[in-house]
Amino acid sequence: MSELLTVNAVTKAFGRKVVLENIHLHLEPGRIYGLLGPNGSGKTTLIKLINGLLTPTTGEIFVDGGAVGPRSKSLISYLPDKLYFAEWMTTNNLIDYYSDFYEDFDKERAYNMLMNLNINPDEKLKVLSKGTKEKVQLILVMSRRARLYVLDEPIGGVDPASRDYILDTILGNYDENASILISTHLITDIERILDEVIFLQNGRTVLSAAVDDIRANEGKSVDELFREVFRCY
Amino acid sequence: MLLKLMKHEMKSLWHYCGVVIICVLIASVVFELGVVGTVVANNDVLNIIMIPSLIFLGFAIVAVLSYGIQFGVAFRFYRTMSSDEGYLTHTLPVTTSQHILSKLFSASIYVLIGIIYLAIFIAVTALILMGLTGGIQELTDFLRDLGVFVDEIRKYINIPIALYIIEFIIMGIFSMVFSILVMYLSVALGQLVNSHKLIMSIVFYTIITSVIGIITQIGTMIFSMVEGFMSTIASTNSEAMTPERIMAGMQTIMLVTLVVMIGFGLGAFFITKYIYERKLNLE
Amino acid sequence: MAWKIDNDRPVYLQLMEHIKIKIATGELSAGDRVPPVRVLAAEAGVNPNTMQKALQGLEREGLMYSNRTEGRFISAETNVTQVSSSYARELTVDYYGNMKGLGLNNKEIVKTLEDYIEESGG
Repeated sequence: MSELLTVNAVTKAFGRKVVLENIHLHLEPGRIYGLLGPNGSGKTTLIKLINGLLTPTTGEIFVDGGAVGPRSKSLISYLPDKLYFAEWMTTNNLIDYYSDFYEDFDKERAYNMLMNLNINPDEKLKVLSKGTKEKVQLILVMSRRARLYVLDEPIGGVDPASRDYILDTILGNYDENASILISTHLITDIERILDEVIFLQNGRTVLSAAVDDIRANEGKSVDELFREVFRCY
Repeated sequence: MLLKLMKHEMKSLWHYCGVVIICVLIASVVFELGVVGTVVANNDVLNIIMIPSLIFLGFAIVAVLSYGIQFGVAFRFYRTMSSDEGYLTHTLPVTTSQHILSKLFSASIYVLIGIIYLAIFIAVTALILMGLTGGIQELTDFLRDLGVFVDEIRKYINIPIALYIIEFIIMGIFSMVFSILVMYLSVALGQLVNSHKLIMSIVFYTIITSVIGIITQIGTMIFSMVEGFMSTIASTNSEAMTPERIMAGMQTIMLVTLVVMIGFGLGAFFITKYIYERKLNLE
Repeated sequence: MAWKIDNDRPVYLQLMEHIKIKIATGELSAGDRVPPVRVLAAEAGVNPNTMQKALQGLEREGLMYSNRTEGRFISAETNVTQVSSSYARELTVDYYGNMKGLGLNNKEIVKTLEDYIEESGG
C-alpha cells in the first residue's frame, strides 16, 4: 500500500458522547501535515487512536497497510503533549531504553542534539526545567528514523529561539519515505513548513487542503483562514 | 522483547522497593545485635525494655518487607500502565501480554527474594536464640525431633516426601503469583474510572481480597462440615479419623486450592489484558 | 537564518522570488550549480516539497534546468540584467498599485519616491 496512514470511517464515542465522527484521512509518505482545530475538536483523540492508545468505536486504522499494534508502533514515533518519563531516570537511561526497544533509534543524533541545546545527559530528569524536559522528549522522538512522526503540540510551551531550533530539527529530519503529522494551535509559526492542513471541528473534518492552495485561492494565511472558520461569536 | 522488558523492570523495581529493602537490612542487623546483646547481658531491667521492643521490631521487619515489596510492585504497575508514563509504555512495539508477563515475572522475583530473606531471617534468629540460650545440645535435639516428626508424617502420605515438599513449594509460588495478579487486576479495574484511579485501585483491591477471603472461609467451612459429617457416618468404623484421612484431606484441599488459584489467576490475567488493550483511557 | 516568507501568499512563489533576487544580485550566476533541494530548504526554513515546487517553477520559466545525473544548474541563457529588470518590473507594479491604493496621484507618487532617494543619499 502506498499510503502511510489510512483512517477509514472512524468514529469514537465515550459512552453517549461522540468525540470523532466518520473521519477519513490518508497520509502519504514524504509530506508534512498539520492537524488543526480548536480545543475539544478531537485532535488528541484522533492522535491517540492512531497510536493505539484508544480503540475506535467503529471504523479502521491502517499504518503502512497493517493494523494498529506492535508493528505500527514500531513505525510511528509519537510525541504526546505531556511528559511521560519517570523522573528518577537520567537522559542517558532514557536513551538506552529507547535504543533497546526501537531499532530505528539513532543514538548519535540524539547526543548531538542534546549537545547543541546544552543539555547534560547525566542529570536526572527531575532536576531539569519543564522546558528542558520537553526538549529532551522531543529529541528522543526525532532521533528515531521512523516512517511517521506524530507530534502533539511540539512547540507549545517553548521559547521562540528553541522553537526555531525545533522546526529546523523537524525539517532536517525530512525523509521522502516518512511523513510528519503535527497537531498544534500555533499555526503562524508552523504553516510555512506544512504541505497540507486538516481542520477538525466538533469531531469532524471540515477542511483538507494544501497550504499553498489555500493561500492562492483564499489570498490569506492558513492562520487567518483558521480564525475565520473557527470564529467565536 | 520479554527479556528486555524484564531487564528494565528489574532495574525500575529497585527504585520502588530499594529503600524498603535497605531499611529492612539495616533493621535486621540492629535486631540481631539487639537479640544477642539482650540475651548475653541477661539483665532483668534490660529485658523488660528490650524484649517487647525486639518483638515489635521483629514483626515490623517482617511486615514492612512483605508489604513494602508488594506495594512497590503494585505502585510500579500503576505508574507505568495507568499514569502519564503509560504514554511511553503503551506505544512501545510490544504486546500488552508481554508487558503484563514481564512485570509479573520481575515482581515475582522480588517477592520471592523477600520471602527467602524472611525465611533466612527467622531461621537465623531462631538459631541465634537457641544457640545462645540452650547451647548446641538443644539445637541437635530440636533437629532430631524434627526428623522424627517428618518420618511419622511420611508413613501417612502415599507419595514420596520430596513430591510433597515440591507440592508445597509450587503452592507457595502460585499463591505468590496469584496475589500479584490480583494487585494488577485491581490497578486495571481502577483504570476504568475517569478520576482517582489510584484510590479506586486500592478500593478494588480491598474488595477483591475480601471476597477471596470470604470464599476461602466458606470453602473451608463447607469442607470441614462435609468431613465432619462423613466422619460421623463412619464413626462406627474405628479408623474414621486416621492420619491417612487427615493427610488425604489436606492433599485434596491443596489440589482444589491450586486449581482454583490457577483458574482465577488466568481470569485475572486475561481481564487485565483486555482492559489495557481495549479499555485504555489515559488522561 | 530562515528566508522571510509572508504568510498570505503561496510559499513556493515567494521562494521563486528569493531565488530570482539571488540571480539578479549575482549570488547565483549563469552556469552555477544550484544547491540540492534539502540544503536550500534547510537554509530557507521551509518544507523540501515546497522548495522542489519552486525550483520546478523556475525550470519552467527557463531560469534553471536539471540534469538527472549532474543536478540543477542556472541556465546559461540566463541574462542577469533580464531577470533583474523583469523582477524590478514586478516590484514596481506592486509598488505602484499600493501607492495608488493610498489615493496618491502619479505626480505625488513620483515626488514621494524622489524625496526618499534624496534623503537616503542616492
